[in-house]
Amino acid sequence: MAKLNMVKALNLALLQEMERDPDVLVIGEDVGVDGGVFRVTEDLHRKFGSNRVVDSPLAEAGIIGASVGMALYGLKPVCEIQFSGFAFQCFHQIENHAARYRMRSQGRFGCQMVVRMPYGGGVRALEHHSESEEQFYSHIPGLKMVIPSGPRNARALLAAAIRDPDPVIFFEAKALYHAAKEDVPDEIETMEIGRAHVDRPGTDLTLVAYGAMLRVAREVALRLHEESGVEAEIVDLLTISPLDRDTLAASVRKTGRAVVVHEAPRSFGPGAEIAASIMEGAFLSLEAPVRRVTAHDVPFVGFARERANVPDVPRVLAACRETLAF
Amino acid sequence: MPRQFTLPDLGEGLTEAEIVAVLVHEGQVIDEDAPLLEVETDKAQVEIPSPIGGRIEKIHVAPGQTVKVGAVLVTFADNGGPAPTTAPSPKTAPAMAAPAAARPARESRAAEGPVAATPATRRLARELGVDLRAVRGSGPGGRVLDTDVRAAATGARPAPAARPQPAPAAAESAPAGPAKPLATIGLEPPPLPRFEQWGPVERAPLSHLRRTIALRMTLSATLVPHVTHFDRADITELDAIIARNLEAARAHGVTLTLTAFLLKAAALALRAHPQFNASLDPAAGEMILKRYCHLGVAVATPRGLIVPVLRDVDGKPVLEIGRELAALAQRVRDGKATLDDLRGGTFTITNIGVLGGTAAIPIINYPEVAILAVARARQEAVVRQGQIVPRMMLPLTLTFDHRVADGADGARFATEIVSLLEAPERLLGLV
Repeated sequence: MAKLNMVKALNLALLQEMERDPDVLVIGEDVGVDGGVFRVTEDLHRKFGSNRVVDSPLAEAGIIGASVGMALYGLKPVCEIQFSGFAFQCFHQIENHAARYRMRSQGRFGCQMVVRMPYGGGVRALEHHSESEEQFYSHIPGLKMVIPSGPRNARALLAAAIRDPDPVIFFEAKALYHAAKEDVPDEIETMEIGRAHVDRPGTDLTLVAYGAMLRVAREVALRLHEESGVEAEIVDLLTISPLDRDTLAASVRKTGRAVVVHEAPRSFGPGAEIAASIMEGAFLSLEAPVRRVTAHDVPFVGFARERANVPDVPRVLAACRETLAF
Repeated sequence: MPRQFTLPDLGEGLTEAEIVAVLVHEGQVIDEDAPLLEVETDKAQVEIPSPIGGRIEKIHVAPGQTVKVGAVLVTFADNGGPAPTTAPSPKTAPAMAAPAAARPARESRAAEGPVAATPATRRLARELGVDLRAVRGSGPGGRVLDTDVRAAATGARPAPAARPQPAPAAAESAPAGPAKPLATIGLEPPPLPRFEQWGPVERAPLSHLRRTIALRMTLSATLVPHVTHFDRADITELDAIIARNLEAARAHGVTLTLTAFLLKAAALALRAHPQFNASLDPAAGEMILKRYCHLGVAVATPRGLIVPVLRDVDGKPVLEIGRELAALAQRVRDGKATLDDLRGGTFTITNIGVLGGTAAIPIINYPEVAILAVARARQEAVVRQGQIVPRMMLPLTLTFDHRVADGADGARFATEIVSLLEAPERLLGLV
């Protein structure tokens, strides 16, 4: 057991999976000698060498295209895209190829690979460095979309993603990389992909969040409790796709009210699917419309204004009060 | 100008009534206050007097018909007399003197599309058999709330419309935590088979009273976790006291019955066990302990079961209880009971003894939380101090709401009733 931040926890998952399975390899820009732009792959090159920790050219389409080929031949590449905003260069390889091998081969072949991408705002970065674009990948059949919310579940979910027989898009919140340390067990630990986690049980309101927004949800739940005794239940999705509809419906059947928080823009974002899923699974329990607190429908704004764009405690708190008072 | 007389607001959340008899005919000239119609509501059969004098031009209803509050009953021809300003309250039912303005017209609401209510409230209304269009919403923008539906279901007057709330976005202070309703059960009866395939059948519509009983019993049996406790009381001594004093009581105009003593025993036992003289507020998560003791007595009538209520039983001597009980039962059998006779009960007693049986498990008279049934008392061979002796034994059955009390509480309460019945001097206030 060691206290690790998310960077170190992810590094531990990669190290242990590479030790456990010689087919696992890492590929990306600066992941080798430099240890990655956020140092998630630090020391792996020294331990496993250039064949298993591949410094790629600055070409995202090449990273994914080469990985698809390696996966078809039985290797298990873990790709790093430096920022999710850069991934449009390889979107074709992901959507047209990685996501489709299971379907193309009538279920006989998967494309066992993980694409890691730092995502999200809150770190005062430049354009293309703060986007939250999980909705694109969640919408593609054949992909799994995972977003951990802390060091321990990041480590366990990355290990599970590496072992998953199909492609997994793995988003890492930049705002969480160094945010907090958690006890992470030394022995390998995995978590089931596709299963949401009830982070805080409650009876009055369901707060749905994931990634960096979990911190906001926790703070809001605490404030609601202090100011009015409201017990908010927090559902930490962890996996965006496939969505854990059962856990969402069960929670709202209990609370009757829900607020969904995400950093992606509002329209056609994950909140829409989550709200629809709650409506389908808990319609007769609803005491109020499901509310969404999201980024605005604009390209991610420059860092001077990003606080106005990413949901924060006052905005989520206001939405919760409205929902409770409806 | 012809004047129309509509079914007045009968109060108590009553929204409709069945016409039992039309006491006038078209063309007849009647005086103000002359009996016009007899109607039966969920609670009572009442006579509606004419609000004005005049010639009856048209009668719009027929016996057997169920009419809603506000429906036109009779049109009076214009005779130059003063137009009725407000509908009078039925004379025989003082409790119905509720302001007619308390209820908005239903038609206007229906014309506006679906009633405003959340899905959760709609489910509650469906489960409680409440027609949302008949409920006055007290929420923001006239929205029907859970509390309105519950009030309508229990026949209680809906809460007065809340003052308009500020828009949530503008609300400075945080809202109080929402009410926490207990889980409800959604049960839809499955479709019936076609019974005709096995032989001829007849279909008969349920009477108004029958429907009310069905609704109330379903509500209670579905919503309340019932638990039943059995016991027997040795009433040999009490029986002898009743027999010895029958004539003396009759001289006072009172028929002394076991039920009067049962009422007294229950009232005294309820004092010591207030959780059975209560109601549960699931929305608030609270017990409502009643500091009064009004006991309902199940009365079988040809029309069906009716439960009139005796007020403040705990403070009355047995003779007085017997007197009031007889008068009340007579009013009920004559269909002349007023609303006040029928509501406000805190606990119910049902004595099926005259009809026989060894025991019965009653269903709680919701929203009360307990009910006591007694079957026929019989001479039985009982062992007392090693000897077999004949004793008069009375079977008692206490059913109560397990949400508010446990088996041990029920046993203690029943034991208290039994020991009171076995010590009649306590019932007579001698000790």
